[in-house]
This record gives sequence, structure tokens and C-alpha cells, in this order.
Amino acid sequence: MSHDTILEVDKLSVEFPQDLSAQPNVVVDDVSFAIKRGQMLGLVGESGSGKTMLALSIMGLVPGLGHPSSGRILLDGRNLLQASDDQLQGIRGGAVSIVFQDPLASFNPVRPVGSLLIRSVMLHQMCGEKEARDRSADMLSAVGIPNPRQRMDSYPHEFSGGQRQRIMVALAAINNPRLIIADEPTTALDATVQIQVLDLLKSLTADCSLLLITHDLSVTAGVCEKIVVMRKGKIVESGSSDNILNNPREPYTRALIDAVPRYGGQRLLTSDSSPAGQPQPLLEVRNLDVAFVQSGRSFKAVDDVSLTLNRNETLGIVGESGSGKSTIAKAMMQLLRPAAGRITFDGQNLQDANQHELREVRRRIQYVFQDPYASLDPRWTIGKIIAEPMHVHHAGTAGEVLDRVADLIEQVELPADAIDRYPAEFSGGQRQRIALARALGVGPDLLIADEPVSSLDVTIQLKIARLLKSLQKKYSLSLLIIAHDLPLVYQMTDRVAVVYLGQIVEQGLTEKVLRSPQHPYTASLLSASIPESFAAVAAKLRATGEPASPLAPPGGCRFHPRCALATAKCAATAPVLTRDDDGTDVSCHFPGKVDAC
Amino acid sequence: MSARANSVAGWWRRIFRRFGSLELLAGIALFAVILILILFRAQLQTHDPYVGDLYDRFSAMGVGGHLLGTDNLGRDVWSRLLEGIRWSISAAGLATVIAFLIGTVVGLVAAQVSGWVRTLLNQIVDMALAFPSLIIAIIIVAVVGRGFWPLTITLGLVSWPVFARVVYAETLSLLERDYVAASRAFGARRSAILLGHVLPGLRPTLTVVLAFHFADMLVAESALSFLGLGAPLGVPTWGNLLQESRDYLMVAPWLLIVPCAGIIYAVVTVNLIGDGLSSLARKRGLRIDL
Repeated sequence: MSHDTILEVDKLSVEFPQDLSAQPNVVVDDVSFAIKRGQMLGLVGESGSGKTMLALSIMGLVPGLGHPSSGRILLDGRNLLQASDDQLQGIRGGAVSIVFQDPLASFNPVRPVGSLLIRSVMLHQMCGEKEARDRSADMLSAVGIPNPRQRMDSYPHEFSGGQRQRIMVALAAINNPRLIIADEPTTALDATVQIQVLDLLKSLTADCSLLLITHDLSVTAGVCEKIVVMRKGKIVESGSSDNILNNPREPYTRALIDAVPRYGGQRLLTSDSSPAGQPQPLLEVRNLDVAFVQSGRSFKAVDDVSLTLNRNETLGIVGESGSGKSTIAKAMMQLLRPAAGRITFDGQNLQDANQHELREVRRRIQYVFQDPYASLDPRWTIGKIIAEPMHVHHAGTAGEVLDRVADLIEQVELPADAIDRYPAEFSGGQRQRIALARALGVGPDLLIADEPVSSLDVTIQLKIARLLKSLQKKYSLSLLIIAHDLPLVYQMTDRVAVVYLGQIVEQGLTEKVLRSPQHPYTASLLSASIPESFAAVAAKLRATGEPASPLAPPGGCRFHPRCALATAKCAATAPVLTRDDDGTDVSCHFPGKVDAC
Repeated sequence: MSARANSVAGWWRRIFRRFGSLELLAGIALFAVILILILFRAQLQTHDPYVGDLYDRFSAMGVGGHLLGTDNLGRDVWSRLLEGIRWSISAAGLATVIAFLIGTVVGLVAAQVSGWVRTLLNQIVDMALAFPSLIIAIIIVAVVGRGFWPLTITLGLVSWPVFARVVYAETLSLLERDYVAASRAFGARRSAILLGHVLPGLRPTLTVVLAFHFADMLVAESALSFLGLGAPLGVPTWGNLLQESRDYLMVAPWLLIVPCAGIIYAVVTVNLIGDGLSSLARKRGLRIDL
């Protein structure tokens, strides 16, 4: 072992005993790799691949009855598996620290964030409280928290998601660790913020090594020197980042790479998008406002949005969390009552529709929810779930409904015996298929899919996206896709609308908008989603900071505080959505200036 | 031989899986004993529970053919205990059902409506929870007198807010689930959502609350009877037996011990069932909801 190796995992296996049967469940199987000083290593695998268990065994935190059964974990040459609990206690948060996925869940909500830092410093660096406070403030300022001395006394909920993750990183880095383990550190964050946190983590590797665990290969692309790919507890392939990403040897690695949606290449489009040349509008939204009341104050979650969805077309609505994209969709279905504006579906004004007409609309528009774990009643069989809308709309006799359900199960490529089983027996991807079958049963004209794949593993995402497009063709559906994942939207949609803080900032043909964005916000979203060739150009346009609260949107152009191109004019007056020569609507005082960068 | 051992083990494992937990299994077994005592009361009683032999007063346990001794009037305690079980169990059971029905309806309504009706219902529940139930019981008994129905209805009326609270909170949470939103998005009627998604969703919680509530009612019946506000004089319910024993604690301690043991046995039984059901619901919940 060379002297600059920080961590060496040597033939490690982790087992969980299974009840009553003799065979233990091996979640990590004979895994070996090493991290050098200052290196950033990416550990990539789908859910269930054992990557998190591996990380937890380095920390000596394998839960329940699980335990490392063989192998060694060497930190600076010392075997952690033989360390006592007291020794491990000293190592955790000292020599090795961890950054978890969900920064809100990993902070104690009743303690100021500063107290965590201070306690950790006092414990590991053996210093007084005043000194610990100084060091904590320095660390917070190093990770980019403004006014660290005042903010130390704030509670976790008073920070935004990105800031919380920065504080988490500060907590991990404050005791000059030898190794930081980051377990899906950016998965819960918006794209523009994700890239900022990755940059921050990368900047730490001057002093320590980093183990980045993720399911998303594209996250490792820009930042890791070495990548280890895991599947079902075993290492499939490992090597330098360039090698793995550009010429993977193993088919599984290739599948993972192919699953990441890209710009260019084959798009999953329906060929006959607008058959008769002249597009026929199916759903029209004009000047839509949706208002909510929170702590006595009313605010507009959706502000003056106009959209048109044509027959057989796929429209994407793109935006970060809190941008109001789901609210627009819910208002379209009249699940929320708009404060102002008009929504017309197939010539019919939905605001004036009576209960009877609204029921018919709710047959013709179907909604697919983001989380297939929450949108299926766990107590219902799959057959009953799929039949529910048909029963609601009295679509045929019991026999006909049963035949239809069996047919739909086949259409979404589920096993035929699924009909009598319960949602708990199915994986996330299969559940989303069930949700799709349920939506199709009543013969809708329009399918609204709210983040249809974002809660699924990457390889499954692509399969569901393909299924969605093939079903669209078969049932001649119009499709509205709400997503934050730009490459996916690029692959699936004909036209796209980009939403920021409740307003549309850019709208037009997907090919045009995502290939040559006119609005700086679109450009910053694109730069955050890591298309390798784009990165250099767009780095200048990266959005700084995080979206403002929709409760109090900034005056003038809502994006100006984060915009690289903003001038005094942007802060003073709000730009109007105007159509350019390409037919793209842009709401910016300097449309096209993005190209100049 | 080993094959046989395996099949026996397999049989046990199946039973265990069916009932999910040891507590539940034990609770059901103990409850079966209570049921047998109630059903075969006539066969098991050795003496007339209401007729005593004054020469035989305060016989100790096991003396003179009296399994659990006799009381101040020479009545056989074992026979009296058997006579009272039916009374105590059915009063507590019916009270639980009354509380369950009122509480569930109020909770469901409060969760479904909005505005002042919800506020009003919640205020009523809060008030009822805060109001000392003993005072209500005293008023009701003062007006209608002691007896099975006054006692049962009193217990039901003072304890329904517990159900209302649980049902209200759980229904609110169920109505926020995505599958309910999905149902609404299909255009399903409110009644269909209620029957199809909400009520089945309440079932696991309600089963557990029912079991624990039953135990509470058993204790409450005894307490009210002991205070002279429950079962009519002369009926040997557990509470009345306790009350009668009070004056003879020093001479005949078994008069106190026997009904206490009965109450403890029944409450432990029902609590075991409740614990078992809740751990079962948790296990199922883990399997289903994750």
C-alpha cells in the first residue's frame, strides 16, 4: 500500500441475516477499492446496489443485524473493522465524516445550526467554546453562507435547501477530515443549486479525499477522477473517469451511460406530431393566475401564464421546485381554482363547466402523479386500481372492465398475474406502469404527467419514457410533461415552456429553446444539467444563489438577482414575453445576449 | 422424524404469520378463557351466586367446597365472579361500540367539512375531552338511576371524543394522500373516496384503538360501580364485588383480591390483543407503505 492512500477497502463483504433461513443476504460482496490523498472517487449504482451499505460500514454504522463478514477497511493503514466503539466514535466526524442526501432530515430541527458545528469542533479539536465558535464561523463563510456569525444562531428551517446542504458540508469538513463520504449529496436539490454544491465539494479535495456516492453517472462526470460502478453488491467496473465514461468495458456500465438522457442523438419523438400541418389547439391557458394564502398573506404561485397544447403534441413545462409548474397542471384539471384567467379544453371553457361537464373533462384529461409509491392505494389490488377510473365513469359492464384491465396490463408490459396482487409487490418502475394503465383505461385525449420518472432509477427512467411515448402514439394522446430534468424534456417533447417563480420566461420549439436558449435562466438550467460540450460556454452564465421565495418575488425581472447579465434596467422593470423571429417567446430585456457569451 | 419436526415447525410458523405476533396469539388465547367462562357459566358455578349460607360466612379460599371462599353473607365468590363477568364484559363492549360509532362519525364529518362546522365539532371534542367524565356520569345516574343501560350509555357518551380525535387526524392525513388526489382527478365522488379509500385506510388504526378502549371501559365500569354510580346493587359485577369487599378487607382479603385479579386479567388480555394488532399493523404498514 503506497503511503498516500487514505482509504483502502479490501475484499469487504457485508451480510444481513435473513429470518429463519440459513442463507444470509449479502449486500456488499467482495468489494475492493482505494482512494488516494486529495482524490475524488465516484461510487455509482442503482438503488439496492449496496453503495450506501458500503459507506455505512466505513463509518461503522451498518444498521440492524447487518455486519461486515469479511475483508478489511483500512484508514491510513488502520483496520476500522477492528476498532473499538470508542475509537470509531472519535473517527466519525473527525477523520471520516459524511454528508447525507436530505439536509433537512439530518439536522436536529430544535437546535441552531451553529451549535452542531461548535459541539463537533469542541469534541474533536479539544478547544474552548469561543475558539470553536470562531472556527465554525470561518468554516460557514468558506462554504458560502453570508453573515456566518449571525446565521449560526438560526435554525435549520430558516435556510434554503442548498444552504442547508452547504452547512452539512461545513459540518463534514470542519474537523479537517481525511475522508468525506457524500451520499447522494445533490439528489434532493434543484439543478442550478446541485452544480454549486458539487463545485463546493470539489473545492474541498485540496485537503482531503472524497467518496461521492450517487445513482446518477452524470453527477460524477465533471468532478470525479475515478469511478467505481456497483451492482447487486459487487463491483462491476472501476477505473479512471475518462475511461469509464468514454469506453466502458462492461455492458452494465454502458447501459447506465446510455440511460442518461442527452441532447442530440435520437429523440423519442412521435413522428406524426402535427399531421395536417395546421396544429389544432386542444388545451389553451390564457393569463392564468393561481393564488395561495400563507400566514395571512396572499401570493401568486402562478402569475399570468399562457400556454397552448395542440392535439397529438407533447408539451413540456420545465422549472425548479417552487416554480409553480405542478400548480399550473392542477389548475388545468380544476383541482385548484384559478384566481384569474381562462382555461379552454377542446373549445369548452372549464371555469364555466358544471359538475357534470367537469366529470367528463376529468375523463378526457388524465393525470399521472410523480410518486408511484404514494399514488396507488396500498390496500387495493392492481386490478381494482386500474379499474377505478372506469368505475367512476361507468365505462362498461363488470366483464368489459375486467377485459379492459387485462388488456391494459399487457399494454404497459406487466405480468398478467399482476391483476390480483398489491402495489407493495411491485418496484417503482412497475408501479408507474400501473399508474399509466390506470390513466389510459377511460380513453383520455390528454395525459398530464407530473415528473413521471424523477423518482425512478436512471435505467428505469428511460424505459418508462419510451413506454409513455409509444402509448402516446398508440392511443393518439396529447401529452403534457412537467419536469425539472432538461435532457429528458429535450428527448420527449415537441415544445417546451420554461417557468421561473410562477412566470413563463421562455417558450417555443424544444429544439430551438434547448439548443440555443435566448433567456439566461434557460441557459443556466442547461449549464447545470452537464452536457459536456456546453459546460465551457455556459459556465459564465451559471445562476448564482437560489430561487427567491414565491411569497416575495423580487421586483423587475424575477430572475435578475441570480442573472449574470442583469443590469439596472432588469431590477427596475419587468420584461414582457415577446416572440422572436424563430417563434420562440422570451421574457428578457436582452434576448439572445446569451449567444454572445 | 425430522420431516415431522419440520412440518410441526412449519405449522407453527404459519400460525405465527397469520397472527403476526406472539402478543396477539397470547391475547386471543387468554380471551378464549374468558369466553368459555361466560358461555359455560351455569356448568362451572358450584353454588347459587345470589343465595348465601350465613353459617358459612367468610370461608377462606378452598374451604368447604368454596373455590374462592365466601363473602359476608356466605355467598360463593367463584360463582358470583362468573355471574359478573358477563355483565362487566358486555357493558364495556357495548360502551366501546357506542363510543366508536359516535366518535367515528363526528371525526369523519369534521375532517370532510371546512369552516365553522369543523371548528364547532373540534371545539365540542376538546370540551368533551377536558370535561371530567365522572361528573357527567354522576349527573346521568342521578337522573336515570343505576342500571346496565344508563351505565353503558354513560360510558359511551363520555369516551367517544377519543375516537373522534383519532379518526379526524387520520382522515385528514388520508385525504392528503396522492391516491386520494388521483381518485379526485378521475372525477370520483366524495362518497366513493370515503368508502373506497378513507374507511379501509382507517381500519388498522381503529382496530388498535378499539382494543385499548375496551380495556379502558372495563376499568371505568369497575370504577363507577365501586363508587356506586354503575351497576345496580346486588349484581355481582367486578366493581360491585370490589365495593362490597371494602368493609371486610382485614377479615377476608380474598374478597378484594378476586375481583382485582379478574379486572387485571381482562385488561392484560385486551391490551395484549391491542399491542399485537398494532405491531401487526406496523409490520403490514412497513410492507405496504414503503
